[in-house]
Amino acid sequence: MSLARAEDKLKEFFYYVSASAARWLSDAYDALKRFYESGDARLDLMTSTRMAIKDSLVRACEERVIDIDMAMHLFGDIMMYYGSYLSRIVVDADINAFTSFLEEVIRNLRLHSRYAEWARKSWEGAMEIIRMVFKI
Amino acid sequence: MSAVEAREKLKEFIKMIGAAPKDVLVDIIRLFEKFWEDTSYRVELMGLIRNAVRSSIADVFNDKRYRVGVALALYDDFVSAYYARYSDIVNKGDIGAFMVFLDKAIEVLKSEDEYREIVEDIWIDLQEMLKEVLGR
Repeated sequence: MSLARAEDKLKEFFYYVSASAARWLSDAYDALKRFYESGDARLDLMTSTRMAIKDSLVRACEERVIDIDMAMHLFGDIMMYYGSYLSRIVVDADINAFTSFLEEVIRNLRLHSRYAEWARKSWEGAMEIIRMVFKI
Repeated sequence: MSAVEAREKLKEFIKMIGAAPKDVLVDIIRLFEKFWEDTSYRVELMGLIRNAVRSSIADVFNDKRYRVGVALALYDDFVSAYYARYSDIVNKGDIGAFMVFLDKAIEVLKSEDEYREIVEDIWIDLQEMLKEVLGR
């Protein structure tokens, strides 16, 4: 049940970072499926999640949606949550912590309306990639 | 670990974040003098350092939007070093951990040629200001 909730939250997260390289989304999805297998799988999950956020912010900046300072501000705030949840997720295999972490990431990304609006448009263009990732 | 050594390391670090606002750099130096007094000062010091690094990187890369990937990667590496020692620094007041963090942060920031060259130019003007603040 918790894993299903995390998967739903991951899909919602993808909505906000869909401009990032498809491989990070794909890697994150695969790693979530292996969440209870090993610490390495959970670390992979967190790394690909972080890379997806970074990639998307870089794209948003390159497309002049946000400036470098805002990109770094957003990234820094998100990394604060990343740091505080990392141990519970990777060491304790706490799936609810992962869901909470994603909620904080989404909340932060949504706070910036220009970024959120841009993400919505990117999402429309990224549907094919998402379908491929989720095999739907 | 002596306070003198730590102060020298901080000075070396300040050299690498010279593009941050000058008043923030001064505040960092002043707060460092209260490192051993209370947790709240260390929290404030670390918060200021994080913001100063973000400002410095953003300032250097702000007119080079195509380099945002480099800027975010640099900040990402810094943030990893930051959170790796954060608890020991803030909760335990461990000056050794603070020195290790500064060493790592300096190494990270120095690794990017374009960033390093710009902040090293700024350093020339900063030296006089630091002499006044440090009283020597």
